[in-house]
Amino acid sequence: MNTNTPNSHILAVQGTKELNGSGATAFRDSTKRALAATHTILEVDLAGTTFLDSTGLGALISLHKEMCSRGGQMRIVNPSPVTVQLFELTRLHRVFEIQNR
Amino acid sequence: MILPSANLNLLQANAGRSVALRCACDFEDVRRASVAVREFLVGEGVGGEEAAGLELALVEALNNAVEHTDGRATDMPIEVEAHVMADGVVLRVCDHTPGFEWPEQAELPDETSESGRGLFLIQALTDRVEYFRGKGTNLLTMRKACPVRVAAIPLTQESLRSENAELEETLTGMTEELSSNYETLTSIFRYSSELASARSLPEFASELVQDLARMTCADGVVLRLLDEQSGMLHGYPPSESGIGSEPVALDNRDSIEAASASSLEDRWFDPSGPLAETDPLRMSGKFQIGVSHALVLNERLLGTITLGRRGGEYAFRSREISVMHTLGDFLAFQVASERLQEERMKTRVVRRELEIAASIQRSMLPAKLPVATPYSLAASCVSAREVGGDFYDAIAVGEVGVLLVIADVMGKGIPAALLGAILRSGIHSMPQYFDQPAMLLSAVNRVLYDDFSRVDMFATVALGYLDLKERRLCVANAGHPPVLVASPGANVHTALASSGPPIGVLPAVEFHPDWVKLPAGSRALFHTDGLTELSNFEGQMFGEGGLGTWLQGARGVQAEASDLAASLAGRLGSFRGATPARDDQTFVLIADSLHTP
Repeated sequence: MNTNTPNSHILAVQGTKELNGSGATAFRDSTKRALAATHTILEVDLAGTTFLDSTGLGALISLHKEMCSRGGQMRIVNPSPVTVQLFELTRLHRVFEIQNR
Repeated sequence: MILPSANLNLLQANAGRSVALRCACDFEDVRRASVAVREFLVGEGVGGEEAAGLELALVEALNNAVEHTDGRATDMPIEVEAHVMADGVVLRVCDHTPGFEWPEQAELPDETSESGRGLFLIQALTDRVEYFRGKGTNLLTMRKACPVRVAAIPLTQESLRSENAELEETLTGMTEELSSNYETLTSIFRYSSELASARSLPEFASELVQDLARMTCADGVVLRLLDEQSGMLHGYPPSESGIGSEPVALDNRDSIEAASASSLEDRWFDPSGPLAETDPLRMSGKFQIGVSHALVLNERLLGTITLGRRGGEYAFRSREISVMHTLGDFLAFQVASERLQEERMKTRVVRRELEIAASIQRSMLPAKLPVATPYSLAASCVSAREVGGDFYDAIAVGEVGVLLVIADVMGKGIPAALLGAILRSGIHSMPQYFDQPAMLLSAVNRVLYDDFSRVDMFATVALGYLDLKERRLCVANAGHPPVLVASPGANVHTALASSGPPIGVLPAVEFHPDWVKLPAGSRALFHTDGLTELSNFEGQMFGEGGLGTWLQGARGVQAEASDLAASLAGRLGSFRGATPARDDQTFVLIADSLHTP
């Protein structure tokens, strides 16, 4: 997982190639560890994520809840059309702020 | 026992139409198995999108098996079979875990739940699911109907072809995505240039709403703008019929639009989470599915925009929502800037109007009061914040008398000031009646009745003819506050009250004159109700009593009318304190300055 910080309020992370049963939990935990108290926005870039299943969705929801509890926001950036379809199918596009750049 | 990836046991690959795999009961290995199944399906002529959907369904099924494992099952492999038929695919998963109860209908969990979507996905991605929970063995069968290309071409050609097909699908998806963004952008550029050519906001908004409906495949788009004073969301552009023609209150708990506006969040509705029975949107009977979005600029709520569909299975997609957000934000910006412009214009117009009204009012007042020996005259007209239609006048009638006029035209601003000017001209145009106030009032009323009644206005007027030789005052009063007279001999002041309705109320009125002697030391006061209705901080009014008391007190003093006017102004000012005057305060004073009582 790559993290970089373009702005001290924003933590930008890149989703792993697959967010599935074997990697989603690790992704969630490492992202939570990377979050500092100053971060009010978490950006999860899914451009490189080619496969996402329900455990991956669970990890994203967990991060979203974490940001909400801090009074911050989470954005999903550049998801693939298939990922967007999955969000729509599970209605999570109502929960996540999705941006294409 | 964990099987290495290379050892995904290929049990069978029957004539290219079935495959059976065996994988270890852990996340990594089941994932490899699902990838292998997708590749097999694509190779067998199943479309890329269908194969990807089945891959996900299979992953969810296998994840479940891994999650419901126990010590013994961990060592037992999971068997996976995929069969490609002429019209679809059958997938089978056989695990040796304790298994679980498969619900009748798998529902999506709460949006904040971190798990529980697997079964829903399996159901959504396949046509039919059967789950047999046995002792030590569970069997899950998933079926999906989909077109399958006949694998008549050699494998290498076929795989090339399916790769091409996949590429094509990806390209189609990208083109769609791009074109929707492009469409949004072109719309915005077009709107911007149209706005520059001074189109009205309602026209612009209705075009944007139509475009938005087309771009999002909505059956209807409802735009509402907030009226901040009433707290109501009004349909925009205003229309007499249709959805959104009835305003919705911000605190309407049944309205999804009001809910979105109050929370500043998107609110969705569909058959599983329908609109409230009494939601105005639902009562229109048009929408089953939709989303309501709050239009906000600089944290200020401007309105709502709602996309709706009559029916169908699909909620709005995120691409469509993003088009709505973009165009909605753009519209909010236009609305806000239009409103700012309007407010500026309005302030400017109001200020200019007040200036005009004040200058008309000033022009009506005589520059100088005539000499009225043996009396002295004084007058004052203090405008309130909003200029009204008060004026006074004093016209010399030869050297023997003076006609005094005081009037209050109903209303404020330019209309009141203009009618005041008309009234003043009417009086000036009838010098033959200057010494007969009652006749003058009747004549003025007759001449001006049409002008006043046409605009539903009227004026109260008191006229006084001060006879310098006979030392008397003749008063005629049309609905005006009484003229007060205090004489040295009397303990109580005299009030010469109205003898008819105001000017402009009835077409023909006979007024009657009141004669009163003004011996040495007398004072007479013409005033408008701005004096008697002046309020102090406790809300008490100065009243006619206050004026009478002041006038009685002023009676025994040796003073010119101008001194008395200053004294009255001071008395009014100290009564009012810091409370602003609501109405003009106008008065005319007559004092006998040559004789002491």
